[in-house]
Amino acid sequence: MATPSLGAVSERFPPLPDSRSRRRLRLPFSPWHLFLAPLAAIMLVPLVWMAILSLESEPQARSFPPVLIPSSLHFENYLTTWNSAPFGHFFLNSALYSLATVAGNLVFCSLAAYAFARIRFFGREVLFVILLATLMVPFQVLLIPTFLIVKKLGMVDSIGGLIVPNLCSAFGIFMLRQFFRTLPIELEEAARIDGTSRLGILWKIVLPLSMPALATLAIIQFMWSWNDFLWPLIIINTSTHAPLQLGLSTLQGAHGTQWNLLMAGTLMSQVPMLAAFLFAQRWFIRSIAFTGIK
Amino acid sequence: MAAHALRRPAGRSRGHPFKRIASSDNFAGWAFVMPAVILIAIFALIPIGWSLLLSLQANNLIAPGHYVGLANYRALFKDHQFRSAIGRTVLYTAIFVPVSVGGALAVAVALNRKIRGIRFYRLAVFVPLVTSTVATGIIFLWLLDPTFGLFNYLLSLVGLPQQQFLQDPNQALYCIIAMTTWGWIGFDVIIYLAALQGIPADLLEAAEMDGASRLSTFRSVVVPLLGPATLFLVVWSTINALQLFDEIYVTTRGGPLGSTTMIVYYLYEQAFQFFNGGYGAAIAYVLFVAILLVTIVQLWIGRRRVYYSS
Amino acid sequence: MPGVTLDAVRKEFPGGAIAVDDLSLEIADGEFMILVGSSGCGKTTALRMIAGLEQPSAGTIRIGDRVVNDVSARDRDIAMVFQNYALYPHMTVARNLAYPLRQRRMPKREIAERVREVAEMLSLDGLLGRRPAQLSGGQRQRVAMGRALVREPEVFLLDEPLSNLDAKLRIQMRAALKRLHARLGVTTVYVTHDQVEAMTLGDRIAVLSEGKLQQLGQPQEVYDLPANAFVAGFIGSPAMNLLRGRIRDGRVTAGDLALERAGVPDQELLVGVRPEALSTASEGMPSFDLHVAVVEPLGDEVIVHGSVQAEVARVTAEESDGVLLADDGDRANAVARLDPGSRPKVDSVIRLGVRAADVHLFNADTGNAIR
Repeated sequence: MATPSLGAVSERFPPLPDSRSRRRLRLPFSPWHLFLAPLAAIMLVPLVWMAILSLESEPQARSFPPVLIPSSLHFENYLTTWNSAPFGHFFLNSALYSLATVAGNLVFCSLAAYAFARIRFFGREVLFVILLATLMVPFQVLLIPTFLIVKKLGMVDSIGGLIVPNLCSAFGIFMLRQFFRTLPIELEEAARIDGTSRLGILWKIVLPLSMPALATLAIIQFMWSWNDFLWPLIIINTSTHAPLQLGLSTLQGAHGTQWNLLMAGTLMSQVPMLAAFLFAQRWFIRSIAFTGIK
Repeated sequence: MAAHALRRPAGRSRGHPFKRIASSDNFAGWAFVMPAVILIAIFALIPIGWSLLLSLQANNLIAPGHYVGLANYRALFKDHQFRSAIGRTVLYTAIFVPVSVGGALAVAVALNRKIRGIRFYRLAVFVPLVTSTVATGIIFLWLLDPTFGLFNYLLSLVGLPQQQFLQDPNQALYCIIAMTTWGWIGFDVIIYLAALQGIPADLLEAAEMDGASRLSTFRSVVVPLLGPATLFLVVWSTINALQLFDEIYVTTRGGPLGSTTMIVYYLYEQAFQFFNGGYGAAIAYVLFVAILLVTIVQLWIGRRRVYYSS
Repeated sequence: MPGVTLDAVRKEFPGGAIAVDDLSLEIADGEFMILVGSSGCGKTTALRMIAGLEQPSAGTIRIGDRVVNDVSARDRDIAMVFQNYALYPHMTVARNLAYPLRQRRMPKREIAERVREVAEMLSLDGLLGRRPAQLSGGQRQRVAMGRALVREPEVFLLDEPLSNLDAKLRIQMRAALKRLHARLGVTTVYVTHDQVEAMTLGDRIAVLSEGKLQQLGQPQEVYDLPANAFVAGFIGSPAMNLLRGRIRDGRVTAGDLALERAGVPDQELLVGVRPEALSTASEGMPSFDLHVAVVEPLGDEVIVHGSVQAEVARVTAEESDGVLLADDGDRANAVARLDPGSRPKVDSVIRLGVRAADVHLFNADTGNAIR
């Protein structure tokens, strides 16, 4: 799977209509900056603004014109916000939700994908098509019945109710199966001849070679679970059981007009994801680009 | 000539062809897929069928419902609010998809350079993608606040009148478009960037040698070769646009005056606020069919006009 | 139709790599000039600078009398055939051929006419409706050439156009190219690493190594009178045998080969003998012993690989392709092309002779030829 190397055809100045001679505007920098800099500003200003607001005092946050450079930095906003809602629980719940669904997907999707890719068993093709078909159905169709099922299982308003329906995704199976099929089959055949069990082959040979695909699945699932909102909204009622995004929206209800605190809360909730992204950009970008290759 | 019994190769079982697949493989195969199959059966297959049944019931999600045939669907057809929701969703999609996909192309072209600071610019474009929909909603609620928001401040700096933005029924939907474009364009840009970098450099050089201006090269060589990426993004964006929910919930709750109530939000209201479970299920099914049809049409048009390099 | 002139052209890449160093070359109007050398010698970079795809770091490039350093590639009226053909995959052959003309806003009728002409000239008529993916390598190559020809450019550039073809096709295309050039007479600059192509196609060849011009001349001239040991070893197949030796008082010695050469001062030498110049020794010829290792009968001749007594001569890093035998201290590998009658036995020792006039002498330090 090629890494987007993020660098391409050599840089040229865009030619003006008369390109025969060098009578061009020679700026000290490439003209593209004139487009990219404002663009970057548009993309980043909301986030920067959020950070600034989170450090302002309440009157400053609610002043007009808006205060761009606060006179003093109110770091205690973070503490106040943290204490005003069960943030610790929010983080914990999100962490559990994300990690559990990632783990579940990695395990169950690998097993299933390997079987679909390499094991000939009765009904394989039909089963795969059925699973694939579920991808076509939007979540909203599944929403209400899943709610009823979770209710029947007694898992409403619990972290289990969040996790269990998301332990295995058809998308993950599809993606891993495609990947497994690109691996050279000779390695697995050799191991079979040596008497290794199917499980052994999966664990010792196929998975180690599939790190990029597994990482992609993990990242996509993690992002999805961490940022999930609709499902927790339906399932969770108690704030201490809420994951982060849901908790954040309840914060909105609680602090309505206390924008500085609300922004502090928002920033806190985004930091893990932002940090992970900045730290592992290449992986994130690769994973996202990969979803386009269908 | 005496008929010799055909000697079957060792290990091959006789009889029914299905049994010829080694039974250990059958067992292993099913054992491996079992957890996934159970989970998907319970949480996807059953709900798909159950949803259909629900849509034929009057069900308040608490007590068991009773069947009412196609009453829900008939009601949907006469429901003005539903029709408005559809209209708004279509309007949103019709603007969001071209703006975000077209905009992403422009941005990707700009980002496909080797100039100083390009890594920073790229990061800047990708970061909003990582923020959650809730965070996006909250941030924009503030940015667009009529009294204290940054946008009105900027407008005032250039002498333009203050706007009500999310509190104005005529502007709210467009604000949502802007907000979601901000949050999602990074995804499209990543896809386009990868596709742009997949175009062999010597094709562009050949076009240059052939006398094509940069614009002409872009139009006649680059854009056609980006066809598959464009098709994917249009289909993907459309599907996501039709399902928009989170940002609406966080910012406007479908208001003001219902001007941002789109289909999924309407579904949420019906099913979980008014407890019309059956009705909600019917809405979901209509949405499903709509998405399926739109996707099929798009793919059909795309297949005929998009060139796939082998 | 103008020629192309390179004047002290230099190309330095960021990072310090010097791809082309002080290259001066004058290509006459209508000439078929070949730039030949091994990978990395700068020939492709030089070609790309003529095309306008790279900017020279120094020096000037002229097409006709027009200095084109600052003229963009699209305005130079040059056509190029890329090594991988660079055909537009989403366009049919017809549209590929028409593309350059459409960019110049030629009227449709004229475009159709020209496309037809070119397609006929290159036997592409039946393929006009197909896409590149549906064509064979040879057909794609012809489309690439057609696309370049259709514009009737002033200069024609080709970047290793035959290297992706199989051997038989390559020979056919070589002949076709030669006929095409004879018919059209367009100034052509052709880059290749294959010295056989260079010799057979070029009006003149320019041998390059490490960005510098080693020798410029007609093929036969370069073959007969190589300017330095590099050119001597590069042109001719199998490569010239180069042995370490010395000259003292007009007497050249290299291993057990000895001959007289007047008028050359004493110095350390590289002594070059082409395999085809060797024959079974006869009276009065300078000669030496060859321990036969491998015998390759080719029908019209026999190629004999073996070792001779001498120090091995190291000329360039990539010299040793085709060397089968390991060098062994004070023996050097040598190759001879003998007539089919002589059938030397492996492990035997044969005495090979060469005419004194066919022995090339090069200074051991500079590599330059000594005449």
